[in-house]
Parts: sequence; structure tokens; C-alpha cells
Amino acid sequence: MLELRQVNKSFPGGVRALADVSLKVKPGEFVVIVGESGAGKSTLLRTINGLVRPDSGEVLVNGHDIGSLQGKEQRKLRRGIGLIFQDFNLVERTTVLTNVLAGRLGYNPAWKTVLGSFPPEDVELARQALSRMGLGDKIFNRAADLSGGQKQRVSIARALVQQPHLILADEPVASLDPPTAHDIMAWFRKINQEEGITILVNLHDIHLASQYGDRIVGMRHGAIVYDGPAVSVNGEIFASIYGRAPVGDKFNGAL
Amino acid sequence: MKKTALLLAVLMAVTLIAGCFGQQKEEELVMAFVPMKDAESLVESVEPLAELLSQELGIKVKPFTAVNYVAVVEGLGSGQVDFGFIPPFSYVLANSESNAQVVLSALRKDGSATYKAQYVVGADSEINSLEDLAGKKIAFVDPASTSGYLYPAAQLIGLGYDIDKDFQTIYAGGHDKALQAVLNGDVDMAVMFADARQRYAADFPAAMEETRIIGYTEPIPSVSITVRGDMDAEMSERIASALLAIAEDPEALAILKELFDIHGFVRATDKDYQIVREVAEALDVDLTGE
Amino acid sequence: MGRFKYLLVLALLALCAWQIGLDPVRIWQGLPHMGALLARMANPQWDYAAQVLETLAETLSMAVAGALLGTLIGLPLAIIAARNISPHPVLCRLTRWLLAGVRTIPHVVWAALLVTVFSIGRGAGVLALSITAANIVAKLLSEYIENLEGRQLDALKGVGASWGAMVVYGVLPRIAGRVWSLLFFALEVNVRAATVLGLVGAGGIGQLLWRDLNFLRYDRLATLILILFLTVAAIDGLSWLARKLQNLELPAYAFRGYKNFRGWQWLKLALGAVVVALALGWSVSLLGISWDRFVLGLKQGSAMLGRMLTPDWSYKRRMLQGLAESMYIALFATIAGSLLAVPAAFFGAYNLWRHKAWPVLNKLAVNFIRTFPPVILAIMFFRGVGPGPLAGALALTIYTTGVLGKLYAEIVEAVDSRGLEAIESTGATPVQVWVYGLLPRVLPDFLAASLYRLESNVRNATIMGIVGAGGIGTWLMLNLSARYWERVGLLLLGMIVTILLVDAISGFMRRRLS
Repeated sequence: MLELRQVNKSFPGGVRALADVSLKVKPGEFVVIVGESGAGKSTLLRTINGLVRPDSGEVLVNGHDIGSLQGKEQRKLRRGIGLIFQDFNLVERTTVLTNVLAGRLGYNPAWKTVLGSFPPEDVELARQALSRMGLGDKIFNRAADLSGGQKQRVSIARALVQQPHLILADEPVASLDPPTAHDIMAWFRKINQEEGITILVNLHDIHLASQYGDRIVGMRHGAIVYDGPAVSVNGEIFASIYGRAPVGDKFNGAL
Repeated sequence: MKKTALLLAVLMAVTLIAGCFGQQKEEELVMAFVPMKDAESLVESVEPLAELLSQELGIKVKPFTAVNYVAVVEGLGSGQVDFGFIPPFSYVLANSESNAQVVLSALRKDGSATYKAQYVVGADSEINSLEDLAGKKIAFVDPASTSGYLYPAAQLIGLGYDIDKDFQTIYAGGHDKALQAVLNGDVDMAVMFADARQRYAADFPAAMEETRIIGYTEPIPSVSITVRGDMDAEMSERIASALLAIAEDPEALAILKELFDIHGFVRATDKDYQIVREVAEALDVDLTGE
Repeated sequence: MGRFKYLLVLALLALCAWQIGLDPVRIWQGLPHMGALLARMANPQWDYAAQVLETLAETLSMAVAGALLGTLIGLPLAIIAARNISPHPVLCRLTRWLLAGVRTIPHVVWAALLVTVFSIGRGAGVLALSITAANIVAKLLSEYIENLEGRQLDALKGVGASWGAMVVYGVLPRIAGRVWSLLFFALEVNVRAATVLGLVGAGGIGQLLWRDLNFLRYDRLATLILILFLTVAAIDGLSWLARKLQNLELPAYAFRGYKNFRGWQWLKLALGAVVVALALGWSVSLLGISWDRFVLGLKQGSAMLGRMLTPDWSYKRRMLQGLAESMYIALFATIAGSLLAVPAAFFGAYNLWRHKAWPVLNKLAVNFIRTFPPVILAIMFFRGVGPGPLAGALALTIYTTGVLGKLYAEIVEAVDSRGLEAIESTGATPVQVWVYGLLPRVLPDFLAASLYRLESNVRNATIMGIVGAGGIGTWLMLNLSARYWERVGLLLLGMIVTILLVDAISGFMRRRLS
């Protein structure tokens, strides 16, 4: 369902963000991409939903090359892909409900949504998503009034109402404290298991990665240096991803 | 610290050098004028006239183009302008501010030293006389204009109007714009020198048919040649005679006609402009000076 | 190298001083006259104030209408011109060019042109103010939108939102506060500008001011400027209050359900629409231009434009002369004003003084200086040094000192205080702290501010001539009143090219600095 074939991307200034990246993800997989910041993880995710256009190679989502799609077609493909960010990217001034309903924008005609009008089914969907994320009592609050963890749950709800087959999360817990980070990661796992939604998460922390992911993809300097089950990550693999030996003894043997 | 000292030294040198350049002023007279908005063509340079005057006087005459009469009046007061062609009201102001003195009056085409302003309405207007103006929208030319504001405003006050309360007043910024405002129906009546419609025939060819005149002001003393207040009598006499002399020269007269619509000069004194002062005082203009 | 650069700047200053006829003796001799003038101004006419206040109402309504129309026009332009949200790259580029072109023409010149087309009075004034306000809003807002965190828009792009939905859900809520504050900024700019617009017959308080100047009533002029100063201060206060109010929202517990919530949304939408419609209707009605009159104006305007588009090239010597003089005025004022602003900032920065009386007094003085539009200051200098470029340059120098004094002081205040304490703790005097601790650190920022000022000073120098204070404006004004449109066209062309060139050079230098 998701396949990257020899994707390359360089940015002005000569930074090579993606170097011949090929990757195949099966439906329902939970993949964690790890690597240092600047390893190309973000670019990889942004290429998958077409926010970044590759210099060469193909990105196939459900058989369509997202890079070659334009306008309406591209939007149609994008609405099936949920996107979650490190800094939540909510509109702080507006209500939680409006932020979640924004996830339905791709399904409704522009002129209606511009007036704030959504079909009742969509509103119900948003309400359910919010109650599911434990925020049923916050729907009319302003996003600015929420805590970091709550904000990230709102953005997960926004992704859920897209009824996606794939969720991409770019460093979703980097701005959160450790207990909240685990809470959010647990939500991803739950969504993955209960709804069968494919999930790709970027993390820089390999400990967290190996705790939640089935499959780990390690990136370094834009290239994939490891692709395999989380359980087989060892010190050697760690070194190939981070360019240094692990501190402490956690990765001296198998996890 | 060394750097600061160096900077200071250079700064002082700069001022001194600039000062020296300023100091190297040979004897010259600055002649100021405002290109007449009612002249047939705008002329920005009076070089040839200055040239002729220089020859007559034996002193270099430098022309200075001003945009408005405030500049000339202030120039006469600050000593930067030696003499200028200014309209009557500006003369009265310059006289009260810095004791500037009129030496000559310009002569009009008909040989008189006065002119008039006219009141113009649209051809189909229901206004037939100055008595019908209450509550109307009217355009003056410019608050400093003798024919375009001072005289007509004083006349209207004389008729019992309160300029601020009885009219909606605007200043058009030019005799041409006052005319344009009537033509476009932006105002009910406009004042301008007589007869601006002929002067601007090229720009507003229909003006003669589409407007009519409902009245004229009293005769207004024409443009004055005024010298600065602290000029000695001998020099002001030399300037006056020189101008009178070149007005006899057909070549110079042609330039005067073309530049300022001046057809000769006649000697004048402050008394000839007393009437303007009275009009100005009727308008509550403070002429007490510094 | 460093010292060489300073010498170059000073040499430039000397060249300009020479070109504008700076003459210390002349200035010295003019001082008593200026003193007498100031003494006369120090006697405000309170009975005149009543008359001013009446006209002030008209000026304020002009300024408000101009700010409203400007904001309403500027907002969509900003969205089109912002590179990250623009609906089409070509449209974006075109809009940016249009804005840059319009920006080169000072509002006074707009007013002068509009007055010829739409007649004298407040209509042309409001239009001119709207044009400049729209440009300010469009420029500042599009920069603000471009500085929005890129990913904030990605979140909506990622859900497959259309362009319209992205603007409504991603951009508008994020810029609402900014638009609000820009509205007040435009209002303040307009009130200041309204004084000058009277010079070309565009109605309002400027008309009174122009009459006072023509009657040499400097005492009344002082009254007027004082009232203006207080008005601008009041707008500042109002803007602060408005910023507090704009955050008012119903608390979450006010909503009983979705219907309730939608009702509130509709109410807000309807209220917003009504307010915008009222604002638009009121502003347009204030123009006082009927549809027929508008069409007539367009007809006359297109004839005028047609003649302007066939410039009279034989006039280019005069144009180049005028432009050169304007450049000398602008460069002199910027360099001299920057030098004078350094001590002004020293006395004006809060963080340098234990007793706040100094900076408070200084800031007040600097703000007061800024209230005098440069062209009015220039007329006041006529009394001391006579009309001409010197008066223009001196006036612009004082104005520049006022503006840069404020900016420099703010730059100094932004410096981390811990660094200062470190120097102070060595027992250094304030002057030493200033010279060794601060100046080197803030110099790049000072230079950047001065370069910005140079850009606007070039614009200011081009309009100095409108009152007879030198530069290309002299010829522009004379040809405008003579309806010599072919020459006006050439002069405007020269101005636009020069200003764009100066902006480009200054922009390049500012980028090098940072």
C-alpha cells in the first residue's frame, strides 16, 4: 500500500535529505523511523504525503504516485493520510472542535467549510474522536487553554476524523514530558491495533522506538541504514544509525 | 578613543569646508518668483530675464524658482531673497513681517495696474447673483491667493455672509482646479481671476459655454516687485530703475509678457497696497508682525 | 578597512553638505529669526483650538475611513502577495510588483493626482490615504504571513484542504490580531499624513494648517500641531485598549451543545459581515463621490494617465537635476540624523539610567519632534535659512533624529542587561559603558535602522519640493499645477526608478549586515 522507490531529494545549499531511499510498508504496520535530527526523517514523511516533491524516484500511496498528482487529485489522496507534528500545529485561537473539524476539510466543498458549515455526520465524528481521546469535555475550549499532551491528543483526533488508512507522525512526543510521551505513544499503538491504521512515527529516541514499534527503520545522512524488527536492534546497529557507541549497557546485547 | 578623535576631526573639517564654500559668495542679487499658474505656459526658468537685468544693473542676478508665496515671503524675511515678484497679499504680509518694501507694480495688458476676480457658476445653475450663495458649496483658489480668496472672501463677508458657517468651503489649489471644480459640478460656485476660462481654454475648451459669471470683485492691485526690508535705499532704487529700463527694451518686454503676463511697470509705494491690507484685516488676518 | 568606511561616509556627508549649500554662517545668522519664530509658536491660541477640533473631526473621519478601506483592500492583497499561501506564483509576483510600484509614490503625490481627477476635498484625501494604508497593510501583513511557521499551514495541506479552506482555517485566525493592530497603525499614519494632504487641497485639518502657514500664523500652527500630537497619543491608547478587547471570547461553559456553538459562530459571522459592510458603506459615503462623478473622474483620469505614459524626454535634464538634489537632501539628513540620534538614544534608553526622568523626558521630546511632518518643519526653516534645499535638508535631519532616536533607544533597550551589568561592575561610567559595552554591540542594528530610514528619507526628499524646499518635488509640483502631464509622467518615472534602486541597494546592504 505504501512504497518508495529510489527516492532522492536535495535542498538548496546542497543538503542531501534523501539518498536513494526505498521502503515498503504493509497495511497495518507500525513503523518507527529513528535517526539524529537532520538525518532526513522529516523529509521522508513529508515526501509521503506530497508536501515535499522528490527530485527523482516514486512515492506510491495505494498505487498512485503522489508526487505526480496535482490539485484536487492530490488533495483527495492527502485526506486519507493523517499528519501529526511535534508542535501540534493547532490554531490556538479557535476551539478544540473547530481544530478537529479541520480534519474533514478535504471531504467537504470549500464554500461550505469557509462559512464554518459541516454536515452533522462530521460533527458527530469529531465528537466521537474527541471523547475517545478523553477530551469529550473540552470540545468548546480554546486550543490555547490546553496542556501539551492534550493538544497532541487533539491533533490525533484531527487525524482520526480524516478516517485515514495511514498516519504520519513527525516527532510527536519531542515537546512532551516522559510520562505524557508514553501516553501519546500508547495511543498510537492502540489506534494501530484497534483500527488497523498503518502508522509511521519519527522519533530520535531509540529507546522509545524499540518499546512501541514493530519495525524500526534507521536513517543516517538521508539513507536507510537499518530496516528490521525492533527486537534485533543492538549496539552495532545503534552505532550505524547514530555514528557513536551507545552510552550505558542497554544496547550491548539484544534488547 | 583615537578613532573617536579622528571622527571628530573629520567632522569639523567637513563643516569648515562646507562653510568655506558657502562663504565664497560674490555680490549677487537673488530674484524670486513663483511661476504664475495663470501664465499661458509654465516657465521655470527666467535665465534670459536675469541676464538682461544683470547687464543693466552691473550686478549678477540669480533667479530663484519658488513653488509658493510663503517661500518668497520667508525668503525676503530671512535675507535669502533680495527681491521678488509677489502678489499683493503676499506683499502686505512680507511688509508686516519684515518691513519688505514694494518698489514697482506690474502693468496688465490693458495698461492698468489692477485686475479683478470673477465668480463663476455652471451655465444652468439657479444662482444668479452673489445674494443666492447661502448654503452653497464654493471653491476658493488658495488661502494665500489675493484674487482667489482674499478679495472675494472679503466681499462676501461685506455682503453679510459668514465664510465658515454659510458655505461649504474648499480650496482648489489653483485657478485651473477651481474652474474644473465648477465644470465637473463638484462645487456650485468658484472664484478665480478674470478671465481664467480663456487662459485654460486648451484644457477646458467648453468652459465658456458651460459656465457663466455672476459677479466681479473690486479692482485688485496687481503683482508687486518687492525688495527685502533691510536693503539700503540706493540699491532698491537701482533695482527699480533697472526693471523700468528693461521694460522699455522690446526683447525684455517680450520675456516679461511671456513669463508673467507683465506689460510694463509703474512705480508704487506701500500706500497703493493699503487697500489690500484693509481687506486682509476684514478677514481677521494678523498683520502685526513679529 | 573599518576606519576607511567611516571616512567614506563622512566624505559623502561633506559632499552633500556642499551640494545643498550648507553654510554655518547662514545658519548662525538665521538662528535669531528661528528663535523669534519658536517664541511665537510657544504661545498657543486656545480660542483657535475650538475651531481646530471641529475640523479635526473631519480629519479623523478621513483617517478612519482611509484606514478601514486600506485594511479591507490590503488584507486580500497580503494573502495574494505572501509567497507561502498565494493562490498562484505568477499572481503573487505581479501583486508584489504592483505594491512595490505603488509604494514608491508618496501619499501627497497620490493626493495631488487624485485631486485633479476626483476634485478637491476629502474624497481625494480618503482615496489617497486608502492607497497608502492598503500598501502598508499588504506589505507588513504578507511579511507576517510568510513568517508564520511553515508547518502550521502544512497541517491543513496535509488533510487535503482546499486553498480557500486553508486561508479561512489556517491563515485568518492566526493573523487576526495582527490585522487589528495594523488597522490602528494605519490610522496613526493617516492622521499624521492628513496634515500634509491639505497642502494639495485634499481637505481636513491640513487645509487649516495650510491657511495658517500662508498667513504666517505660526502661533496657530503650534496649536494645531499640539492637538495633533495629543490625537496621535490618544490613538496609541485606543490601540492598546483594542488589543485587550480583541481577545474577548465566550468561555467554553457558555455552550450547551453544537447547535448553540453554531449559533454563536453564525452570530459572529453575521456581526462581522455587518460591521465590515457598515465600515465599507460609511467609508465610501465619506468619499462623497457619486457613481457618475466617479466615471467622469475615471474618464479624465485616463486622459491624464495617457499623457503621463508618453513622457516628455526633453525634460530629463531637469528631472536628473531634481533627483540629484533630492538624493543629496536624503543622504545628508540620514547621515547627520544618524549621528545626532546616537546621543539621543543614549539619553533615551531606559536600561542605561537609574533615574528614569532622563529617558522619559527624552522620549517625550523625541515623540514631539516626530509629530511635525518634515515638510512643515521645512517651511519653518525658511525663516532661518530661506527657502530651498538647505531648509529641506535641515528639516529632514531633525525629523530623522526624532525617528532614529526612538528606534536606536529601543535597540539599546533590547540588549541583554546582564552584559551591561558585567561592564558596570568594573566601575565604568555610563559614557564608558556606552562607548565600550554597547556601541560595538548595537552598531549593526543601528546601521540597519539607518538604511531603512534612508529608504523613507529618499521618499520624503522627493516631496520636500511641494512646499519649495528643494529636490525633484519642486518640478513635480509646478508641472502638476500647470497640468503638464507628459512632464509629470517623466518626473514620476524618475522617482519610481530611483526609489526602487535605493530600496534594492539598501536591502542588499541590510542583508549583508545581518
